[in-house]
Amino acid sequence: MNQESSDNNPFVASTSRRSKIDATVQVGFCAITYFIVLCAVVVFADITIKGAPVVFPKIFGHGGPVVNTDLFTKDPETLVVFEDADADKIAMGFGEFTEYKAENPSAVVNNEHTYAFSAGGVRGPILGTIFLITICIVVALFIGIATAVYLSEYSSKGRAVDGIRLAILNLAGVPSIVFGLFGLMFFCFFVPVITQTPIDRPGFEVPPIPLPFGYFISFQGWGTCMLAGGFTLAAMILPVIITASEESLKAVPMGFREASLALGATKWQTIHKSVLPYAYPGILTASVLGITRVAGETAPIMFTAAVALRDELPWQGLDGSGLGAVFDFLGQSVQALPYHIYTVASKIPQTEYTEPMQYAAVFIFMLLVMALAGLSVWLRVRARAKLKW
Amino acid sequence: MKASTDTPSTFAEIDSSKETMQFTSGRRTFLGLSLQDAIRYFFGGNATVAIIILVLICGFLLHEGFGFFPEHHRELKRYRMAGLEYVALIDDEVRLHSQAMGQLRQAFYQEINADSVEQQAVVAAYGAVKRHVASEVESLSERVDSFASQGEDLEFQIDLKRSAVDAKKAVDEPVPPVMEKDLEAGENALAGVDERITKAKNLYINGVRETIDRIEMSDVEDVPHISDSAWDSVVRGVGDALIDGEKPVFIAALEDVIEERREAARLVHADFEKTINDLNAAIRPGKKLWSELRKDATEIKAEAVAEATAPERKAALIGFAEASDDSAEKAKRMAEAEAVVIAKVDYAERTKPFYASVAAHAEISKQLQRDVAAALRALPEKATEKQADKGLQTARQHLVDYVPFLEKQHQRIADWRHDKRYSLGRSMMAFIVGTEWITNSSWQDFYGLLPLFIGSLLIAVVAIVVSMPLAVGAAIYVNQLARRSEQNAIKPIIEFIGAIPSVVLGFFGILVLGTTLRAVSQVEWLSWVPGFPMAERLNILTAGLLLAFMAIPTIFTLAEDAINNVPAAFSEGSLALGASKLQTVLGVVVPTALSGIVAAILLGFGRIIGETMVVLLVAGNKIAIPDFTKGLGVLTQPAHTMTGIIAQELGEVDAGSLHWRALFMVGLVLFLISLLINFLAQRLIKRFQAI
Repeated sequence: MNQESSDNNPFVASTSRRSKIDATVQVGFCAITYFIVLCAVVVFADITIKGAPVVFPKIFGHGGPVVNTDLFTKDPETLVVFEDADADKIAMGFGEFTEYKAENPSAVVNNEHTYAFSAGGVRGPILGTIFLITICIVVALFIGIATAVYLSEYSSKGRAVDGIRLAILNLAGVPSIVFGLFGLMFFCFFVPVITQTPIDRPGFEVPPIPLPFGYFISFQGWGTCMLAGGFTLAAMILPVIITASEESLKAVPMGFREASLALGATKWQTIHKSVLPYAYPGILTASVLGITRVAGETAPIMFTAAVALRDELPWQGLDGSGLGAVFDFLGQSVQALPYHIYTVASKIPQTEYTEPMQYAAVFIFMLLVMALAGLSVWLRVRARAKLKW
Repeated sequence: MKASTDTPSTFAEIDSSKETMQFTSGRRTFLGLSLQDAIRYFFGGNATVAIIILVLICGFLLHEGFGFFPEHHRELKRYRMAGLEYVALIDDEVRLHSQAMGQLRQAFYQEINADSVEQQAVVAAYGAVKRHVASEVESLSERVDSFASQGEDLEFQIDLKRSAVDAKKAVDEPVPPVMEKDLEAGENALAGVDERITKAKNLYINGVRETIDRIEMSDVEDVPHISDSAWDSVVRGVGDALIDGEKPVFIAALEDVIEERREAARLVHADFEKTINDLNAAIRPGKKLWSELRKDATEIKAEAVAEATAPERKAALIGFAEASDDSAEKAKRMAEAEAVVIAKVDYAERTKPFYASVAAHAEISKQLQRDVAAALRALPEKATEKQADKGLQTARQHLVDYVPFLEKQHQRIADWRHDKRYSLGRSMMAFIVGTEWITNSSWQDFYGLLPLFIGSLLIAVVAIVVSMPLAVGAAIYVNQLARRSEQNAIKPIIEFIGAIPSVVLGFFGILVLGTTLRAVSQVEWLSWVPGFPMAERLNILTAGLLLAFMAIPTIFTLAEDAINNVPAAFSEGSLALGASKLQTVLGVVVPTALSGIVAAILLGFGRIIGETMVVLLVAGNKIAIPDFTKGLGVLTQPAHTMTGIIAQELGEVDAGSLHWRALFMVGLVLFLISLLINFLAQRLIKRFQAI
């Protein structure tokens, strides 16, 4: 439109030259954008191409089952690679290898190499990640929604609210490793517990407070366990959930509240019956998206929850029954998928024998994260279809 | 955040006006609180959790951090009192000397080798290819060896048996039939072994041939550049040598030529060599003094540490004794506790050897200065070979600086006093601007932040320089220039990048990006790029590029928001005045949104500098200040970061130790940086909103 007026417009130097430059710059911006998209595709394709055939061998023409169930039913194991009498390379898990040697005592085993964590599956890490995320969701949603309700429904302008908002903003920028330090000092070493046998832990040395019946309130923390890890992750994701929840609450029209109050409902009844139900879909969508980010975090759980290897599943070998067993269950350290990937990526040499398992673990992890992201999209679509005002 | 100010206040007004209504008759109260109030306080209490967490983070970091400084101060004071500092001064002299020596030697050998560079390249290529092929067929050669040794064993046994049979025959004794049969079976087995050996040998030869056939120059590590024809003959030579077991003739001839030329060059540069040897001999007395005093200093330090920990040990033993029920055990523990003597270290007495050595050091230093000056005169002015000349000039400069350094260093040594005050401020500076982070050392641990800080900063700068144009450019394109359908497709993809876990990106960096980048850097026509070819696969550049990728979604989303919030009237006005679309975007929209975009970049920077897993996996984890003399080449060196060091070392140190506290101090620094960045970004956003 502006080209037409260029004859009598002194600000446009030369239409053809101008539009050529415009077109070039525009192509440049376009190229930048698609370069980013290309990078994302490359990362994603690399992991899929190398990971998917391990997880779904049949689909990719490698024979065997459609889904490699071993990955989901076995724990990480050491891989043994050796040569038999015909100089053929054979790779098998350590358990299988022990059996093989017991069955064929005369078998030739030459050139034996072992690679840690490169056989078996990733059952333990997957379960651990699921438990950590579950604890994180429960804690973070509870506190996050409550905070958002306060900020959006109860608070009026004032110092306290400003302080809360400032804290939320700043909390969002704190590095994940610092949350790891905080989780270690607070949840692992400091949180008070009621126990008969207090232990000394580093940090603030608060003497145990005696209670009747030989119990103490001891400031000893929970130790390295999934509860500590889940709470640390929850602390980290809190700002995201609060912001998302507050926005969802704001999106509920004022009329809903006014109508409810006008009908004589109390404040709590109003919030409970005519605000929260309409805000939940939005809250969940945004929160699940936030939790996707937390599921991938490794630094906060490195010192608070994760271990490289565990022999037992979390629900095996619990002490006590009932409530005691629940606490014992939560008080265990767990394997976690991101920590597992960190361990294999940094400590184990990359060879043709170790790569399949590593890529499989990464691929499964990406699937898990994408499933969460997909869940949030699905929730959003459903919420939009259901709620309209 | 923007809409947060108006809507709730109206609702809150409704709330407060409700207080005056008449519908409040049926209220039950408990402790003066109505149910509604209790609910309100419950929500309010939850809202304070964010503040509590922030305060707790501050509290724990400060608690551990403040514990760090006094202990660090004590440690550094002990470093001075025990004379370690004194020994380190002499150590500096020795170290700088050997640095110059290294440069001189390198220059000398470059000079000597200058005449036979091509030949050496071929011989080196031969060695590299041979190693490469040998490692490829290693398993085969092991098999051949094992087969061969089995065969030898069998042969030996059969020989034994045969001589036994012969001996029996010779004394006319009847040979037992079992033995004959044995012999027969053995010979059959030997034939089988022969067959297997042949098979294995063929396997091996085929393996070598196959490897030789497909080997390329780029497959072999550290292979010097040689001509194509030389490469062909080297590869063929390696094949023959591995199969026949003999060195090819042309390699042997080349080695002779090299040896000859080197000898000739050695004769020409005999003076140079002599000067180097003389200079090497000149440091010996200094080294001797250093190693003697070092022993003393370590002993004093051990005593000092024992003194510092003795009361604690004693208390612990007494505690054990009191806790134990067994009286014999109790007595034993008590006796042990009694045995712990708190021996006061008499520093004045113990440090006497250091003061006594000052005179000797003066002598050594003077002599060394004379020797260095003499060496400077004796050293050739110029070297014929270009590289050698460069090395020689650097070494000369080093030596020229070395003489006044020795003078000054001796002054420092003479002035050194073990009981000079070591201020707390100085120990704080030793943390903040300390250039060394050394832990688990038998000599002395140092906790200097600088190498880690510089590593973090360099990586973050690379990342932000790469990601800023990409993310902002994409934001401008998507928001202003792209079609609707494009927008809807691109936005989720870029946001999806944000969902990729950082540990996955780190994994990708190790397996794919690092290897690819190094391969690219070894391409010949790219060798002008500073720092190429890269020595390490994991370095600042690799980590920076990955972090740039990670930061793109953060910057993109926030920058796009900022651009989106520019009032439509602005661009409409611009278009109405006849500006083109691009002029409007770059001249009106982007400048208006600039403070928002800068805030987005700042928040992206905060995300980058706090990122842990990618840098831990990909930055190379070398704790040293990168060598800035290489210009931009500094970016291809490995580094360590503040986040990485915490993640790597915290799991391995004792809780409550000085090292542990140092890591918390690093965490505190990170925390403060993140707060500062947040503060700046908030200020910018406020300014943006004021438009």
